[in-house]
Amino acid sequence: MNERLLDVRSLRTNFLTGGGIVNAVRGINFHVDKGEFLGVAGESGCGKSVTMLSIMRLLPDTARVQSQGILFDGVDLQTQKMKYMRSIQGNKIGMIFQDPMTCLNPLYTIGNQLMEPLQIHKKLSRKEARKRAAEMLDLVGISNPERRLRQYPHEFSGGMRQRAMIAMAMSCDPKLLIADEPTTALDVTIQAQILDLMKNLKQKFDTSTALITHDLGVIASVCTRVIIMYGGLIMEQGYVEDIFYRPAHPYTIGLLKSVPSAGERTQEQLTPIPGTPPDLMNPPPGCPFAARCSVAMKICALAQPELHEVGDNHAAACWLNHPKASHMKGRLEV
Amino acid sequence: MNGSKVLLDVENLQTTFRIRSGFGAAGVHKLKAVDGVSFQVRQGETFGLVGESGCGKTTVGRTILKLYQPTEGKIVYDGQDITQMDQKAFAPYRRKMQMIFQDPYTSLDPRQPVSEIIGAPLTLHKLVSNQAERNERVRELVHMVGLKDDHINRYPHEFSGGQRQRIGIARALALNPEFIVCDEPISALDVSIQAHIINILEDFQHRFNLTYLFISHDLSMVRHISHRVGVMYLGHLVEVAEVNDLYENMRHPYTVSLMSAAPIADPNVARNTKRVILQGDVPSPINPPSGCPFRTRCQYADEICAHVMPQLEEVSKGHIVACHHML
Amino acid sequence: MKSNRKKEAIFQPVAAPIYTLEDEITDDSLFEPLDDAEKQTDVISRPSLTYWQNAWQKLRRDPLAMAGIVVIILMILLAIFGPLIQPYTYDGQDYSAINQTPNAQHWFGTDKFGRDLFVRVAYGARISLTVGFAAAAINMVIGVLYGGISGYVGGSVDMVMMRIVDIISAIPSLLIIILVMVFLGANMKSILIALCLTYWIGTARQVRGQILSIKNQDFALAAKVIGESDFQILLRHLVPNSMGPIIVTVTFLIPQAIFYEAFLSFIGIGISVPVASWGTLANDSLANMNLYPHLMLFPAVAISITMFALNFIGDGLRDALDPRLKK
Repeated sequence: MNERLLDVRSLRTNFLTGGGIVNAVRGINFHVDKGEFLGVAGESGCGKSVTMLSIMRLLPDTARVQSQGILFDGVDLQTQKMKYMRSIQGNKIGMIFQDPMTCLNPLYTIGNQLMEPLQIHKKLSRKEARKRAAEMLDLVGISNPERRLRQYPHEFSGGMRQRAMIAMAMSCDPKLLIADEPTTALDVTIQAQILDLMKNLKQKFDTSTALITHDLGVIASVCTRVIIMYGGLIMEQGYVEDIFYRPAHPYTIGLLKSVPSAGERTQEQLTPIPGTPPDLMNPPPGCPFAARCSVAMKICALAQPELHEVGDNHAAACWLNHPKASHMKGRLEV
Repeated sequence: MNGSKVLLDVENLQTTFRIRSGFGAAGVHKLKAVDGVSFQVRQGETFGLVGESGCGKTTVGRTILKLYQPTEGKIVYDGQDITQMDQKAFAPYRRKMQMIFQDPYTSLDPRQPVSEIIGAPLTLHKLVSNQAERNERVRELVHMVGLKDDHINRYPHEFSGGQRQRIGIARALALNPEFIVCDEPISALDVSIQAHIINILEDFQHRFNLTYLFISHDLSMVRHISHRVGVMYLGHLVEVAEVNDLYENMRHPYTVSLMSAAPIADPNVARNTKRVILQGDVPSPINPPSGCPFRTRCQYADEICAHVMPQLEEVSKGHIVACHHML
Repeated sequence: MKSNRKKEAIFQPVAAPIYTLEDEITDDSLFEPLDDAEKQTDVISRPSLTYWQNAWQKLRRDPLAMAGIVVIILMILLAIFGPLIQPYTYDGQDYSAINQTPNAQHWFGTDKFGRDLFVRVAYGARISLTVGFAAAAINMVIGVLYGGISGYVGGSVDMVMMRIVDIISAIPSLLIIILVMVFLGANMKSILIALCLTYWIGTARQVRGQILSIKNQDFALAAKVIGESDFQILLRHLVPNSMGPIIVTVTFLIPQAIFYEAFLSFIGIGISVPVASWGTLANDSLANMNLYPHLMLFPAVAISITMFALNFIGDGLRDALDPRLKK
């Protein structure tokens, strides 16, 4: 059994909006092991980003979070004050976001912004912080770091900004790195660079990493374990090989099939998942995927099944796992 | 497709933007977004245009639709040179040439209901004579893209991304066009929705004999939908070929690295293939490198690449490449 | 503690699931395939709300803005019916009842000519509100057209139009207003003309900014692709989409105009006696303010609460129409 770094129990997050309450995350349990590279995948609005932001308490005022425990490194985060949260943000937990430009202050130099967390959290002197900042830039593959430290964010290209963000997130030697769609805004060739960098840093520092993405290709190339979310719930979780080669949930199967395979150009049609995700202001009582599922049964519309072990550390929340549903299993094309 | 006629012929297209970053004439920079691009699209085929952001692929699409005026070159549509036509002379072509936009969140006017978004082009081009006829046609179009009557009087913000994109497709189809520029029509959508949009596009292509210029950075989707593909880099077309020919015999180093950078949704393949990871960023188009535009990131680059711009040459039937050191 | 209770309220208690995977489920029919009819997808369950309906919903929840609206409605009712419910006219003098304090016959008392102050305040509301709303409406039309054209056409047209704006705004507006009043005589028409000469500047600048920020959005390009003319794009897409912020500005223009009218009348170059506006009433009372403070009090209070109410409405509208707060 691996040691758990982050253990989240029954996390629920609601948003108060003008039209009513949106149930963005609807009671999920998950954990991040020490030293693992976890991927959280799902479509927009499935709650994957909200989950991480809830843990970090970085949501806007309209959000309400409830849980039965968010254990990080032995401390229950949900009982801690905001002051404690600030002391671990950017320190024990590093974060990278989709758009680095919104996280970098255009009025300060990259150096200033890199040194700030080091001075606050690690109590380094200005000189030490500057030295460490330069080292970090060098580490993330930015050449000529001394000169770069004096530049402003707008002088950096998109890929370089993301590198600088990674340097910032890693500078305090975090135990957990949360990367929220870090490569979505980047071009493929730059994305490849960043993923390569993240993989190397992961090996070097053995930081546990949670990568949130909608791109299964990104998951396949870097993650060791995957959580698939849909409609504010976890549909399936398991090691990356299990998820890609032995998917057990119709949603996962649908996701994998809607990506064209790396074969020849064929006249064959792609298999899309019909319909649209559920409205989480009014979530269905049963499985959120039932309305789009090719093997949905009557019971799926009535109740949401719990996650059920289908293999080693591999679980799926699907009624097909009920003994009486064996007749439907055959209809599921993997 | 080889037998069908050439519907669109783009010759040495150049689109330059003037960028102001200071006072006077010295503050005006010229940005060559598209620099000498030539290709042909035959009727009924899908021509895929791939490249990274800033390579000029969107500008090519918009210049063809005369949203931008080209600075040089020729655009011939169905035998007619449309390059210098003014908006009035071009009006009949607006009906034949349509566009599907990348971002379904910004491409639909948030203040108009679906009935108006899809109905406006009908009234504008006098394809319907009265309101009843217009309503009927709007309903037909809405059904064609898989939406329901209930959706007709709703506003864009009430729809999901995929539904919005279908509304965008219905608007483009309203005028019974021949040619559609699909400008990254799926890149803003979720994976499970992308396949649906692609299927709709393919279905309509067969039903109405449509010709597509499919602009995308997603190589696997381009491979799936296109008959021929052109690869762009920094305003230049660097390689054009039949789709299978291109994906199996890549000759340009940039094409190779672009393909190899694309993430593959298969852990074993993704981990065990050796990737060519390009170093550095795309140079600024305001100040492009001399000679070959790709030389600053190319592992094969040498002296000649810095001085001589490689010309497109045909290496096998229908396969053209611009490189001094083609693979 | 209070905030904690609020947090609890929005979480429905988790009900134990009806069935779990561990249960022996005896009802076999539950494992039959779900009919397509039961798979309701693509259905929008939320009620259809337009932008304006949505804004109204938000505004309704703003108590200050609603109070403001009620006050303004009461003011308008006072302006229309106030002079009718009393037997007096605004200029009817009655020397048997001069300088009375508020009483049963004269609710607000009388002035030095024995004119009924309630009727005069109500009559003043007519003038003030008319000036306020008319000035704002005229300014909106001029500002939207001027700013819209300037922003959309851009280039040298924009340059010239904006320099004209700069020149007008360089002259102190009070100077222009006073000159016009002196030139055209003191009546409501000239107040309106004076206000309109200078007031549209702010609106025009704001509309131009709005148009500039949205004119390159995809929906404007999409309108061009379906063949709409520039003027159609401006009126059908750009102006409606910038209407929210424009309406907020215009709402704030109303109290400003009312204030200017009162100010001009107060310094004696606005509406002249015996016609009563709030400003002239306040001016009239100035001489005997120590003896009869109620003569000053009522018009001053009327001005103040109208200004408060309109500013509250403006603030409420700004929150309700703010696109950033809209999801």
